[in-house]
Amino acid sequence: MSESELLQQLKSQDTRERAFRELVSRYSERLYWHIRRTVINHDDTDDVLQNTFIKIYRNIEGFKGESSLFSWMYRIAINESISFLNSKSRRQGLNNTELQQSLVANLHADPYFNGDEAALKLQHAIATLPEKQKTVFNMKYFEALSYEEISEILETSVGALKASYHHAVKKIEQFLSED
Amino acid sequence: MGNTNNNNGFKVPEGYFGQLEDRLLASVSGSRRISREEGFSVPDHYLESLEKRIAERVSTDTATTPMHRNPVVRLIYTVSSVAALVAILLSVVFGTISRTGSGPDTAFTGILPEEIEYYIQNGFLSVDIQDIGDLYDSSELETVSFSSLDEAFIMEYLEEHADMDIYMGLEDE
Repeated sequence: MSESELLQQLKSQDTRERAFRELVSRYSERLYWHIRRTVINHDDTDDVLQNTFIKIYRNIEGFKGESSLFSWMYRIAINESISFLNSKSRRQGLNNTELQQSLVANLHADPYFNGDEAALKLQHAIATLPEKQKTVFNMKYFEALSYEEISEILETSVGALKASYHHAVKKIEQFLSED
Repeated sequence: MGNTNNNNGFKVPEGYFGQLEDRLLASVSGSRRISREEGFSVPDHYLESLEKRIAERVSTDTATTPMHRNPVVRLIYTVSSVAALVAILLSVVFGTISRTGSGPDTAFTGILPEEIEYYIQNGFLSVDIQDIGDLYDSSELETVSFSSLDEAFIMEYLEEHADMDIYMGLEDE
């Protein structure tokens, strides 16, 4: 089923539920991994992912098709993740950088993290990045999205994305070389 | 050397951005690529059960609360959330109007509880506490004054308007 057919079914009351199941089945893993890299912890990811899909379900009728369905969903996932982190940092009395460092520090004891020292070091480096650079870096480096795809999702020019990615990589390189 | 990405006169060597990844990978772990699967993992059968759990959430279209919370705790949580929401809403309204130059009295008396209730009940005000928090950065939140709110008014509002039956029904869950 094409994305446009899926969208059509999502907007029809009769077929919505079945189409939504298809939507979840098709995209949940990709969204999961993006959210996971942002919020780090699995349980938090699960919460954010579910909230993302609930929001998608509630707002699907208002989706105007100005971007691809997946870009729109991705955007919701990004916003939900960032809102979640902002809320969490407020609750814990930390700024965003401190929260990121704390989340990565907890990976040592996380049963759902089995990366080696290099992977952990990379996570520490990523945690030092500003939010936008981190998002761009994750999407380009881990998720292998093209600049054009990222541009549609983040509604940012390709040139600006390249600059963000470049800055992110330089900062990570510097972090790793200092360690 | 070939050049690409001509942008406003500036050029970078051909393949420059692609090589950034390679250089990064080399910095991290020699020539070995770190894939997304390397590091993070998920509980067994998590993704398989996800579809069912999300479908269940959608069918009830519940708010974003943990699924197994005790009903009584949920009641308290909800009441306190409503109280906080009302308080913060009034503060936001108060704060917003104050910023525009109107006096506190004008702001407070200008917004009737019925109007707030109307907006909430009719879905025109699709905000939650987290959304309101996002409107302000932490420094601004610290300066939002709650002292101008009449606690008795909030409690009276809740007693009159909070639909407890909805939440009491959760005991059947």
